Amino acid sequence: MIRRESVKGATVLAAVALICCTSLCGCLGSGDTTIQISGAWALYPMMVVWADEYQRTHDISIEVSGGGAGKGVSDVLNGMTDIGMVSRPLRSEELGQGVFYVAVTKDAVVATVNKDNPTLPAIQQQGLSREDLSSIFTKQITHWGDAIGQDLSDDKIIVLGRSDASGAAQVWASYLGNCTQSDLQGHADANYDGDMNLARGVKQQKNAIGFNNLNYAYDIETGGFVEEIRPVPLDLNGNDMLDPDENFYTSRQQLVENVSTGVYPTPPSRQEYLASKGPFQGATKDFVLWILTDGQAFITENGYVQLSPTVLQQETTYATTGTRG
Amino acid sequence: MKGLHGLRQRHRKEQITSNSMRVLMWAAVALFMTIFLLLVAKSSLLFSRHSILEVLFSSTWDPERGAFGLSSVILGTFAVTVLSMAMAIPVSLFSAIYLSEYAPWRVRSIFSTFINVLAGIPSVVFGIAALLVLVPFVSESLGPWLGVETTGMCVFTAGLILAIMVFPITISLSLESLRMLPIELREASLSMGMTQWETIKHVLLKAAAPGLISAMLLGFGRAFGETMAVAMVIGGKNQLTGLFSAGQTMPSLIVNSFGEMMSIPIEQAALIFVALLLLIIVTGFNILARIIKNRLKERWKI
Repeated sequence: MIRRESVKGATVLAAVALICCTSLCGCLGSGDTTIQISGAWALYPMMVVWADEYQRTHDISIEVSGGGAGKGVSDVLNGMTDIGMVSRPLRSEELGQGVFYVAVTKDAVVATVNKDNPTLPAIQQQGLSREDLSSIFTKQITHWGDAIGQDLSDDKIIVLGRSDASGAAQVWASYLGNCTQSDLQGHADANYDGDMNLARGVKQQKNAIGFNNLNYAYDIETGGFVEEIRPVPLDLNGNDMLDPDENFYTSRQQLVENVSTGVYPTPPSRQEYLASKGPFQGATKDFVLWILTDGQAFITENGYVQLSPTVLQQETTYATTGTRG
Repeated sequence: MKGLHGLRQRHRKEQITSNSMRVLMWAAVALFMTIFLLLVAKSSLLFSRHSILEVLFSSTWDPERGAFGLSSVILGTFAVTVLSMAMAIPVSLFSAIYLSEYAPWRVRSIFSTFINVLAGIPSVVFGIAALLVLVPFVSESLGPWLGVETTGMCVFTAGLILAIMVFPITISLSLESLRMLPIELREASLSMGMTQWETIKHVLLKAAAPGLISAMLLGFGRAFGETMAVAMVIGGKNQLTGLFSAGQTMPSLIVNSFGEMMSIPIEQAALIFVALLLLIIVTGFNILARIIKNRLKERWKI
């Protein structure tokens, strides 16, 4: 009896030792061929695809986690990861700590309203200018009728936003001008946690206006409108008319093309970045260069927007030389 | 000889176990102190540029502009918690009285099991339920009925879901302190000709007061620190403008901003200070609950 017990004990011990050994070996063995990545949720789905594709063709392991843009930057600064994903322009305090970055793809934030919005036909004909949107999001205009110059009832604007600190909100705030995410939150009637919940808020309230990333403003499968949500066209030249060259919102594909060429302005379109502490090096650099070349093929099918060829060329140069300009 | 040897061995075992338990106990205490000191150290940077009075009493929280005023967030936390306790206390007190004094034992045992199961539901589940049920209820039914315009993402909804979340704790702790009272108290009172309600009002509630009050204070502490469910429905606005407007609590502020605010030292320090403040306040409430319980016990000599 005692012998059997001890045999069992020994087996368990051996098994534990074996597991420890292999995992330790695993860690040690792949020490220089593992790329650790963390950061913005906005870029996370794209990075997972890139990592999968790259690992298929290269002998390397890549670990991707989220956490937010700030965590991405702080992790690379602390040396915990090799690449940080950032979904907004890098801030001067971050660059001051020695962060290097390259842009790898684009995304866009668009204002969204409910399809039963009382002024939707007028909005789709005139578009809203930056000044209009700024007045709406800062509550200087409180009724839809006033926004397009009609006299309506039951048209009190419900302004929605993001409660979680997010690149999308910061980019939208910087498009509106002289405004921070905190200001947006302060003026809003309600703020939601995440893009999906914000989209749901717009769906549920006919007088609501919010802002969403492309993937939530359009149906990712069909590329058409999402049930109750309509994107707000921007009146870029401010002539209270949506000219033919400003009218590209009926399908996702159309808008993506105009984001890519820059007709849809930046902000509210935004570049997404990969950051590191100092220039990219070794296996990490190879991976980043792969993203900037072969990796670009996966961008459109995953709902992101390609950088224009000139910008892409420039970013590739930055990544190769390890310096910007 | 063998007997003595055995005794010695047992004695040694005794020493080893009691010592290791002592070490583990101190490790738990040390862990708490480490967390506390870590938070103090990590938040100190904030006070190199801002005074503590400014942080506590200014109402503007706008990290991008370097403003770290917490007063409206602190007020928001108290507003949500007080609101939730105002709803939770009567309900849980009367449920506990019913379960303890009136309900047949079968109902009591089924209900207390059910309540204990409720206590184990993860808060994010409550949050989703609140988002799907309470938010539309408040915006479409309660708001119009009260004549207020609201999106439902507001301080009131957060208080409501918190009340629902603290029920299990306050009910089961209150029930426990009522059940612990000796049966003789009830017998003596009833034999004096008091009705059951009079017995409850004049005898049982007084005798159980220490336990009841500490149950409510523990519930308060739980509600104060609750994060996920609140963050999902409160509307994330760093101002307190009304019960049916969006607001912010300290825990929801932390969970909403942490991922984004890690990379800039001063913002990180500010957020860690919020965590430190939360830790101090919640610990304070738990200590207060204990002190009150002991004081009252002393006074009523139970």
